[in-house]
Amino acid sequence: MRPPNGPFARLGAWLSRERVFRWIPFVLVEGTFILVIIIPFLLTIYISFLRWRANRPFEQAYLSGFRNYEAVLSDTGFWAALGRTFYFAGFAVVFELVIGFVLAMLVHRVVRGRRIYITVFLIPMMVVPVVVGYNFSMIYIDHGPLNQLLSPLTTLLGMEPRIRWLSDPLAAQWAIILADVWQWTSLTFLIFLSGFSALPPQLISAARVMGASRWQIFWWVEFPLLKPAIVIAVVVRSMEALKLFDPVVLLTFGGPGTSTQTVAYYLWEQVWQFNKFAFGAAASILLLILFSALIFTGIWLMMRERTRLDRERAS
Amino acid sequence: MNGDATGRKAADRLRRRRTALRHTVLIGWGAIIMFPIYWMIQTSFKDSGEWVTWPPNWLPQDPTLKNYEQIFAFDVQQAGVAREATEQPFNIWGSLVDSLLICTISSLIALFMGTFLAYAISRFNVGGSTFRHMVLMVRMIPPIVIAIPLLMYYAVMVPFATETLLGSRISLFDTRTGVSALYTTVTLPFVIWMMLSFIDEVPYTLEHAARLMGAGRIYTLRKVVLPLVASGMVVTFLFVFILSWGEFLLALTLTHPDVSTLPVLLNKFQSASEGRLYGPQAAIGTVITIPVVIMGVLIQKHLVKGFSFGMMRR
Amino acid sequence: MRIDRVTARAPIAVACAAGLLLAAGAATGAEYGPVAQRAIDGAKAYVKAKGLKNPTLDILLNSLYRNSFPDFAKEWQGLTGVAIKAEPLGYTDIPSKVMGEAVAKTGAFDMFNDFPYTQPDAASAGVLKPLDEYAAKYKPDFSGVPEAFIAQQFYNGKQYSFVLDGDHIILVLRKDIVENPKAREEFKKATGKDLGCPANMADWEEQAKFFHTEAGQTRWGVKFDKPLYGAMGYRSVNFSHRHFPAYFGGLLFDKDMNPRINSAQGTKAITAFSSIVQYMPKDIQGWGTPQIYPFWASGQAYSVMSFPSIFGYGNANPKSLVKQKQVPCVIPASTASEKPVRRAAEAAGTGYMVNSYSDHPELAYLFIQWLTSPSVGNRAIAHPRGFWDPFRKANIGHKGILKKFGQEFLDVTLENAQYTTSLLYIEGHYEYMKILDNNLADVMNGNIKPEEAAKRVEKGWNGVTEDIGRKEQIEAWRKGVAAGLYIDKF
Repeated sequence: MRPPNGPFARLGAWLSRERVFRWIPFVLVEGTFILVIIIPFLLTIYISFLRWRANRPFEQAYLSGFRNYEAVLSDTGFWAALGRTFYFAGFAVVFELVIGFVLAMLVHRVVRGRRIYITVFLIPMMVVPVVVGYNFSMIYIDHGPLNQLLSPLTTLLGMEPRIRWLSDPLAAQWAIILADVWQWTSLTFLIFLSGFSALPPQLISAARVMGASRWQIFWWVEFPLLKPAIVIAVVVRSMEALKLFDPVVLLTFGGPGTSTQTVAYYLWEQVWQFNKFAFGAAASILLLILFSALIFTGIWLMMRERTRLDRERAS
Repeated sequence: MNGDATGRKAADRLRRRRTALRHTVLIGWGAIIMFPIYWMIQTSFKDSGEWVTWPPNWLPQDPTLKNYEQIFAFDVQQAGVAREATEQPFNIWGSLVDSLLICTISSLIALFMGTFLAYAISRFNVGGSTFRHMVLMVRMIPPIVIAIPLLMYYAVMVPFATETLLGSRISLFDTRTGVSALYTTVTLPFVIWMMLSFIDEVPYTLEHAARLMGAGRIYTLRKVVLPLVASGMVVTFLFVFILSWGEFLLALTLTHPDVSTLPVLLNKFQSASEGRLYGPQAAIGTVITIPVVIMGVLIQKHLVKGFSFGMMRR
Repeated sequence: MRIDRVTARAPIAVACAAGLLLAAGAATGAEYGPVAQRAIDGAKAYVKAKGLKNPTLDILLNSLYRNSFPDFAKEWQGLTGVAIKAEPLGYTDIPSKVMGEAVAKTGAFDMFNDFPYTQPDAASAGVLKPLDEYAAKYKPDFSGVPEAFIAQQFYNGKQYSFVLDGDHIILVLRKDIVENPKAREEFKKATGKDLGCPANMADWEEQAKFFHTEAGQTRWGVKFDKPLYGAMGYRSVNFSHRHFPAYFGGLLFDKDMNPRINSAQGTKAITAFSSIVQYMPKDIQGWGTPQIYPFWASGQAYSVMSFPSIFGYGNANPKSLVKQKQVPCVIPASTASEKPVRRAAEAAGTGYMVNSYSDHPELAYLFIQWLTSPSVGNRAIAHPRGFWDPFRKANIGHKGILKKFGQEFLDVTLENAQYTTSLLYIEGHYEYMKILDNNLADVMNGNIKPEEAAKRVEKGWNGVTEDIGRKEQIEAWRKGVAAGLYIDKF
């Protein structure tokens, strides 16, 4: 048999060389990134230095240095929206973590009906966000089912039974947080449940044999092992919660006033309503830097935690 | 002996009480979860007069399939389900096909490329030690703003480039290819990140042994590594599929009129302050939720096993 | 913004009959006026000259019209062979699709259907085709159209759109209460005035205060199981600014584009605008049309300031409790301006524009001229499932329109059209108005005083003007004022 010849065969041979082979997926993925998103992203950076509103043709735009960045940083609306984003994301992520953790712990211990619980609890994250948005808009109507359900409680507390879910500034903020919690607790639940299922049973039974109480086992054995899971849940959820947009636009349109404007909504409004493309580009670059810094801090914490665990195990 | 028995009885009672409490909490949360879903489903069986009433009707008083007939009918006039003589079809079919194709293909490609890259990173440290985290940057670009440069890129730059380089004008604007490519790209970081944690778990010794026994590289990957991370791949697929399935903003900017995904279709009948067709919307909402939920139920076992992001090693 | 009237389950037979009538009309072709006929002939000639086979035009359609527009599209296709493909989209997404097209230049749509105030931005961005050349050729007819409506079709001296919709805000009162002798007597005793359409905003608030009734009370021999709210109006973000001009009653800027709101007039207007809210449902700030229309129909309010279509909704909705119990009123006069003036903002009427990247802009123009021509336009306004509102003199004699709206309402709405003023018709409309909305919301929520709001709006508006370019803005603003967009002049 002759050794393979011709350009294609030679290319194949070259590609299957160990040194080359390991780079194939890297090149593919990086190529996709560059072709699909890096080029537009560089364009975004370029636009962020332009003097351009979309109500003028792009051809008339000209470079203007850091003018847009200055405008973003000196805009009170931007800072207010950013603050609100952290407020929403903070509460939402905390609730999602706590509820998700408790649920996972309970489901983990449950024997009967486990499958049904898991099935039901995972549904919300599979519902399309747009559907979630208008579902909640039906539920939040002030004469709607939610207020009807809550009315025994509100009358007991002497509150106005018709909570203005979408028109009172504070209630609207919580309406959005609750919708987010409803949808994404399922994800934290899933992450924690996986964490619980992956706990080494020998370790726990060993602790039990040594006479540790339930609470002690939880606090000294299970909880430390779950810490990485917590960090993962925080990172994954924060990344998406900081971009909170769909429920805002579907439920309140940022209102009443600006009380539910998140930074994603703010950006959308600046760009798509006010046509301030260059301004929006600059704002998005700033946000990218800020959010990346936050997320990478989170990842760094997670890595540190993991190496610590590894070290402890090794010793 | 008596004291022991009462002690056991007390412990039993305690355990039973604890179990009951546990179930109460879980059922309570289940009710919270199901409430909006229930509201959507029952609204989808209501006729127009019942969509918004005061006080709300908790069950359709006059259940109807009209909403479903309306969204699925190719020609509402012919099918005789139109509310009015001028009613236009919602034509969910086109969007359903678009969405299914775009999401399936983009998720599969992302899964394929991401898994192999994750393998390369895990085994050969391709791209250096920080690369695995740097890919997440792609996910953090706010879609709202990248949408405009993307629009210019898809609709102006790509056609221009293809025209000069290849001689024929190819536009990615308003095409399934364009949206799929984009979804592949923006979900890739998650695929890489998740698959990395799974592949990191697979002990290298296994592969090593297989290689020593003379198995080829691809063969080893296929027969040794992939089966071990299969549940992880399933989970990852579902996760990115859900992300693409619900994506709205980029789809709205980059498609229409020819291609339209389900969230965009849904938005045609919905806006914060416009008259809403609650019934057909609820029907569409139900219809587009079902496939994902079924998929989730089918792979539930993998879901729980696979979502640990490899955090519990050994 | 009118509610989708699917809730009004009109007998299908009636609608079918209307469809048949339309079809018959298309067959005889007898009812096309000269303007429509010119468009038809022009389109036929255009198709022939260019040798087009199965020509199709795409229109980005406001989804409110998805039930009525296709009838006319079909009719046009029957007449000229040019198919019209409608792509309905929620109105909030249309401006961004239009501005996206300015960047993408795809020509995916030949026409846009949107509010006229999208036009300054879109025209400056170059995505709209100036229509003057075609208009000179095909001669549209704007006779009997109020000045502000004509001016809305132009921007900076060029025509970019055709308007077919008089969507200026009006006031509707409850006839059963207004005509209740006991109520009239008590009202006269309390205020010394005869009960009827309020002359100005202060009178309206007086009436609202008087008729605002808690649940369980019995007044004028009527027992109220549910509360009766004195007033309703739009107070949500994206809607407040559509009502504000009625309270302000004058130009928002002076001739050098300096805001006039930080003044006694502005403060008075903001105060009046937010003060009447106490007689409205508590959550009015979260309400849009989907809430306001059914609530009005449920009979729980004495008065409502809204789009004209609320009158039709009140009469036609099968569950309405206010059928034949409505009094339409011309917009009350502002109490903030020096002299009392009536100013009804053209709040949500839509127009038709041509994409400059369209392959067949002339053909698109011809369709628009045909649709908005007096003869076809009359039928559109009369369409049972349509959302077009009367606005021109030619609408008066039309039987279908008369049947749909009724003589009393038609008279009022056409008088109201005389007071119609445009919203802000310059580049950056959405940003200017959003600043106003946000500050009005802050006042209504008790966060700031009207004086402070006026100051903030002034500052915000100046910022937008500087950002877009004061020189260009002044020019466009002056041209608009001179053309009669806002009735008022400097």
